[in-house]
Amino acid sequence: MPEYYGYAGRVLRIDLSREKYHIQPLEKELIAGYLGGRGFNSKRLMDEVPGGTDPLGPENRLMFATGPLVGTGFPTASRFNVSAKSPLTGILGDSNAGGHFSAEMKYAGYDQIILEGISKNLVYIFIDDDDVSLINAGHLSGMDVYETTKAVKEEIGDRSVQVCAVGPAAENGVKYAGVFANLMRAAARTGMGTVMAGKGVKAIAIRGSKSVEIAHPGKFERLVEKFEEDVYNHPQYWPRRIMGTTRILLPLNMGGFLPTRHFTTGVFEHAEEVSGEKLAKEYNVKTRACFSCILPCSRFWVIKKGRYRGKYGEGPEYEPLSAFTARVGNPDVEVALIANDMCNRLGLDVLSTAECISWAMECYERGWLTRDMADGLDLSWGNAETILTLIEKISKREGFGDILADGVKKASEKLGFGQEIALHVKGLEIIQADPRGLKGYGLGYAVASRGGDHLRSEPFFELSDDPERGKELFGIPETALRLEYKGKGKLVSFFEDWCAITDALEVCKNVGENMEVLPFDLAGEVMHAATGFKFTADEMRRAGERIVTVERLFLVREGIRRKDDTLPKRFLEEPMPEEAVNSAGSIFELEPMLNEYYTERDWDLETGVPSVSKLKTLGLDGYIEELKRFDVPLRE
Amino acid sequence: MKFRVKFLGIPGIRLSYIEVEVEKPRVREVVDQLCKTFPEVFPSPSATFQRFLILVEDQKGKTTNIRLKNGSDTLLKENESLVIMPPLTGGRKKS
Ligand code: SF4
Repeated sequence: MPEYYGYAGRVLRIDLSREKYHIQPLEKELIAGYLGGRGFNSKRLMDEVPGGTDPLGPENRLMFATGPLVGTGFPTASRFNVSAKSPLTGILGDSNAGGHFSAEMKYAGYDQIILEGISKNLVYIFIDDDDVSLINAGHLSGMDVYETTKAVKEEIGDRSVQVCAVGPAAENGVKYAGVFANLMRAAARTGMGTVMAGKGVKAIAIRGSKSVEIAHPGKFERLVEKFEEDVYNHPQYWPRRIMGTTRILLPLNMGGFLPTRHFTTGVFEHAEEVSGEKLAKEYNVKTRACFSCILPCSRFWVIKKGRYRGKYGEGPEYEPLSAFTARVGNPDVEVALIANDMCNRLGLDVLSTAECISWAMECYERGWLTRDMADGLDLSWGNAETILTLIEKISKREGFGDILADGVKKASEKLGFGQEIALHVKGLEIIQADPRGLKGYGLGYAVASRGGDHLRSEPFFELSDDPERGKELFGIPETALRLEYKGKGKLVSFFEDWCAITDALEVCKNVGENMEVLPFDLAGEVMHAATGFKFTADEMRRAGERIVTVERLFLVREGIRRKDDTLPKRFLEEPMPEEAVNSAGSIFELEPMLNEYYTERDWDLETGVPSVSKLKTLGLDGYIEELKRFDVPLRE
Repeated sequence: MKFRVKFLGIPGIRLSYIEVEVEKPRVREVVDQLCKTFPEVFPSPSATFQRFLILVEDQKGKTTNIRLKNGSDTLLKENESLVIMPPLTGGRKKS
């Protein structure tokens, strides 16, 4: 009888400084408290990366984690999380990607891979079941993600080996470089590629021949069938299959919260020309899915004529599409395709890159930044050549690109202007939805454990316009209305817990959470069927809350307090302009929302630190002494 | 009376809008017509109301979900149009 069902039951630790590795059993307490994936990484980061650690020093750990459902055939369970202390933000760094890497990790027999120390030379790591080799990668230095992946596969002589790699941006120390699996499955937020390259690792190749055992196969099969049926019959199935997340660009524009010209307005006059519909009609040629996914939402595109004729690539999702069109004021969808593809190949986070460029454009339009200061570039809104040139320059840390390569917060500090319009939270550049038009999302950005990002909460319910249901589910009708602030604390904490367990199981949030097909009770059932561990809906929610809270502890240990849970001034003080008809006049009411959120979480209203009683309830009181050592103010 | 119906991201419909003629300016009448015109996409009014997001848009572009008005009984004013799209939210069938 296997010792573990669902899980591989092992953790691989690689000490790059000593060029040694060892395999340890997966701790059962970790499963009970944190489920897997993001939960494992966050808990271990809190335990193993001391407060104040240099993100690019040997003490930082880079962790890859997969989940208990990955490799079982459960639809969309294909994801993995990459986590470390972030060199961009100095707080928790974490990013999630799909593809096939995660399943291969399980087949090689690992739930988590932990990189420690720093390698003397640039290497790539080849994990072949239980054999782990560090292979000199000097000859791969400077190669882009596509070239690296191809070269590693060729050297190993097996095209089916799964590879995740970093590009030249990471090697050059750009603070928001990502880790890329299957060429363009990007774990790009918060600079995890920067940490990987900083450790001297260019790529990880993995191959496995083991299997994943299921505790209750009959029950598991029935649950998979039910899940598949829910997905196939879902009204979002075909729209997502045809357009992926790009389907939301036009609705956001109609709602008046499509960030345009660096969030100076919420409507883009060229929205139709850069929409998901336009891509589907004129550029997309086929779809592609992650491992065991029944909703192939990724799309291959080809440009068939014009100056970019013959260029091809995969994606983009809504974020890069709208970031390289509306956000930078560019009406040419082909430029956005090329920009996104360049970021993938060079290994950059599209959102941070687009924020840095659009921030520079706004500074230029306001007369704060001159051509002389920006290598002679014309930074007028939408200048295609400038956008593409800057992506290249950032990746090489060349000229003005070097300033932008540290992120928008540092760039504005260094230049001494534009801090009030640098759109980030805790140093992480914010995403492509204006919080003045989506109050719950905005609160999510303000409190997210990795900085200004929506993927920690995605409280989509506020778009439902269904106050009755809001009352029924959350006791507050306004939770269902995007422009209302009341009830959003409750809504966001619920959705944060949901996102946390979805990430822990490493199921795709596009499906499990966004399409509402994997609620807490079903997740608990699936967990039981796959692993044999029993979890009620309440216990699943509690595990989600524990993950969110341990991440908060990581942040408060680094000095994060209520004052840091905020949004850029623009959203708090500048109402949405009249032209953004459906969001016109709206501003973001931060304080009452934060109060409600902290109350819901039982975090101190003044400091934003979780209360001692909350820590006790979640079994996290073991951290109290550690927090005291860092002068974290604690209240009962 | 004639009303414009705009389509956003609806698989199977390549038009961005159509004009629909109805006797009574009621959302239900418009949706009935839609079901007759595109039976494969909108098989029945009840399925359409359940599976799609339907908004009323005024001349200035201000939209309101019919759920916040009178649902399928919502009356349309002259110069108003309907916008129909797949749900942005979970959209799972309610139990
Ligand atoms: S829905 Fe898309 S992103 Fe999610 S697992 Fe499937 S193919 Fe991957």
